[in-house]
Amino acid sequence: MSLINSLPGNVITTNADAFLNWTRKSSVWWMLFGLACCAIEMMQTQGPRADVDRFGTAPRMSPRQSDLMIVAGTLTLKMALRTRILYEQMPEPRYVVSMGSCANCGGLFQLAYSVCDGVDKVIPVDVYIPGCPPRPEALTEGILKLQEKMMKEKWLVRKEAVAAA
Amino acid sequence: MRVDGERCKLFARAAREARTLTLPSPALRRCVGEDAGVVVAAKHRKPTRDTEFRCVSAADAQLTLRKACVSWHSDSQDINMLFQFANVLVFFVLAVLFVGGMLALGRLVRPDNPEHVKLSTYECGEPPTGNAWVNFNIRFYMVALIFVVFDVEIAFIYPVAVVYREWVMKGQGLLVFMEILVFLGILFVGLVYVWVKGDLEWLKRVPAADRSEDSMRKAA
Repeated sequence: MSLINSLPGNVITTNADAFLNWTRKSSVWWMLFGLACCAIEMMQTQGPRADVDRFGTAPRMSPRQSDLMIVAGTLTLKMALRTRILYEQMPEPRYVVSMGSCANCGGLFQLAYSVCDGVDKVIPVDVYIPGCPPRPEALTEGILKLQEKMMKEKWLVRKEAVAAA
Repeated sequence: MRVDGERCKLFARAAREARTLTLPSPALRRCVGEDAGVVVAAKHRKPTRDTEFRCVSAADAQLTLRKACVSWHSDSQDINMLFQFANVLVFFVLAVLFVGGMLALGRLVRPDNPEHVKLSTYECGEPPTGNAWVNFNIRFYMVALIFVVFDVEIAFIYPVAVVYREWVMKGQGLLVFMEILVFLGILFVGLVYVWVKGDLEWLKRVPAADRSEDSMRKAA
């Protein structure tokens, strides 16, 4: 009488980390941070045609209620200050997706005096999505890659133990 | 076995006068007189002067035994009501446990890293300035007050609606209707007052007398 190969096909077994990560990746609420033209593509990704809501996402307007910040558009130096404060005000677990060339590296406007070359100069980024602007499908793929990254997180283990290994 | 009417009555009278019904039997059979098949349908635990006795045949006594004895031993009306209260209590306890459990589970799996900037007031990325306590518009108070009055009026009309049919059956439907119309009429006067006073308008106008040229020149 053993448990091996005994449970029927509709029983799922998991471990605590995987379960937690699954719950977190299935409801990624992002903060609307559309700065420029990439925001239009972000809006269309939430639209009916390339519906990203089916992955459990929801747009929020406040950093306090969001897990993800999609930086969509050119980051000016003036905005970079605010972006830093808003990132700090997001509660953990928090992620950042840099959408479009301007947010990745300054893009088209790298040589301008007022543009910050890439959002990773002020906040840590998890997923970069290239494109000018990236199509809704590209943004959706970026969200899915972020979900893959979320599944690999280890929340319940202390960080020093992981570093020692 | 045929019910012996005379013996049943004698038995009942004796039991009533003796104030206790003692039969040589275990608890279940305490209700049944072995000879006459008396089933005691009583409201109280022990037969008293007011206890009602019903005489049935012995065969029927077995059928009604459990029902009668349960009602005799357990004060049926009270127990049913108590069970209904227990229903609500269990519901309440489960709700409290559910909410408490969800909050506790969240506390367990939540990361907790408070930092100074994270806890600062949110003002769209700017450093917060000014006071957060702004003047409260009085329109909300007016709307809430009017709502409360008419909500209570609705609450008073509900019982009337529930029992209205009985009154109609008794032929006094018109009387009840007039009474409730009087109640509504009194509150309708209040509604008309509020309406005329302009408390139902969300956008209020400045009265014409103040909208003179002088005040507009002064304001500019």
